Amino acid sequence: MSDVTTPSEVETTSNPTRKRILQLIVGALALALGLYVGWLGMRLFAAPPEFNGMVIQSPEQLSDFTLTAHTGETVNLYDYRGQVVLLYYGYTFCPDICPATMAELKTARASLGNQADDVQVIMVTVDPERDTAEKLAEYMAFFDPTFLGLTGTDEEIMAATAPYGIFYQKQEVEGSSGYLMDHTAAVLVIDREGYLRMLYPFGVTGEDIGSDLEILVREGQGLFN
Amino acid sequence: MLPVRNSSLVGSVEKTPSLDWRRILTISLYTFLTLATVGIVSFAVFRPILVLPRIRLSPGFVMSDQTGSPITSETFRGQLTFYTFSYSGCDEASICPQTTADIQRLTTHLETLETGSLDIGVATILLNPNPVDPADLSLTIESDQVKWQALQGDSLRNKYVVGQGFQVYYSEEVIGLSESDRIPFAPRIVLVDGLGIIRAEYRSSQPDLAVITRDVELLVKEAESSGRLSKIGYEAAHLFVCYP
Repeated sequence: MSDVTTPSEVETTSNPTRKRILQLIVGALALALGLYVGWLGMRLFAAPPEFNGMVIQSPEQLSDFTLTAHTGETVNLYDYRGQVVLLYYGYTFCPDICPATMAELKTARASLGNQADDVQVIMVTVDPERDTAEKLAEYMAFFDPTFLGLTGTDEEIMAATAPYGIFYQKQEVEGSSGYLMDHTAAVLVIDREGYLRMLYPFGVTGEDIGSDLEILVREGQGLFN
Repeated sequence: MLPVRNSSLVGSVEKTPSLDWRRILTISLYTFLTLATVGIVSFAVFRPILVLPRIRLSPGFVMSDQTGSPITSETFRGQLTFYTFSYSGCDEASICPQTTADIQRLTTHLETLETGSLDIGVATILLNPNPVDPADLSLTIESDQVKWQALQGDSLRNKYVVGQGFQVYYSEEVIGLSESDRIPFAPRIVLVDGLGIIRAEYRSSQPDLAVITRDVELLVKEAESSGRLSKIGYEAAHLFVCYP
């Protein structure tokens, strides 16, 4: 009889090989998918979140300070336990860095939507000589009415700056303003429990700060909130 | 008659198991999660990367140096700085807790360390209640490679910078007939990184120099890890408290 194979026989012969190749491809794809899902899980639950700020992870809670708010009330830093605090040091006569930073902080807070109430922005003035409560109130309202401006005596300001890594000094300049203030232009992020968690040097955008805040705000909430 | 192989192949087609998607996915996922867990546990246990803790921010200040020129905490950004504490007139004879000789010993040792492109300096904050005239300063440290600076401020600044910022105990009351007689304080050396973060505190006037060497080496390695992957590794080391 003939040794010639029929078309149906050829199909039958190549099917298992095809299936094996298909099996290998699907297996490889499944493994890749498994790796990807695992990697995502790692990023979310195991690996440190990638923050845009400089992570401090200090084992010590920040010390307290007492200053006067632009509303006239006496305020302690500890009053804001339970909220994430963005602590900034600046002054209302500041020509460039301070308003730019405040605008970024406004963007950051606004990006949180309904969760914005969990974040308090505080600006401590490094120029208590000129930054009266009225000036601060006007300045804060310009950016965001929820922002809090703090001032105090020279010693109170020193107590609220030096231990927090902030330096400031008067710089005489020609012109109507008389002087400017040189100061550390960093934003400190304090978590709900009062730990210093992060530091932003000047230039970090509000969007980047906002995405970090989302993580910090979520930390204090239940899993299903 | 059909070849035998054909009939056997037909049989094998019937026996080929269908693709078990769920099984493949489950095995892949479990394999990865097991590997990830083993990896994380191994990292935490074997600690392939060691880091010094980020203890807290180094205090901000404006003071004056040994020449009387103003100097701020920002001056020390970008370098490793060992802060030491003393006062003018602090020597063996006055039973000083941290003498000029102790600071000189540290500085001389730092000269021998390899720090790559990272500068290293020593700053001594003077605890005298009132700034001493630069011409009358009795404290001088000799070094060719390590920059040494004396810092002094008024008593209010010392209170918040030294007392609260560096958390060094000292007394504002001078013991003795003259100011240079004796100022009680706890000997302390504080290592601050280039970002202005306190990374180590040595509660002794003569810390183990091998420990100083190890700490400097760790900070230099960390500063030089600019790659994305190594940065993640270092952040993980901080998260898992991989401290020496």
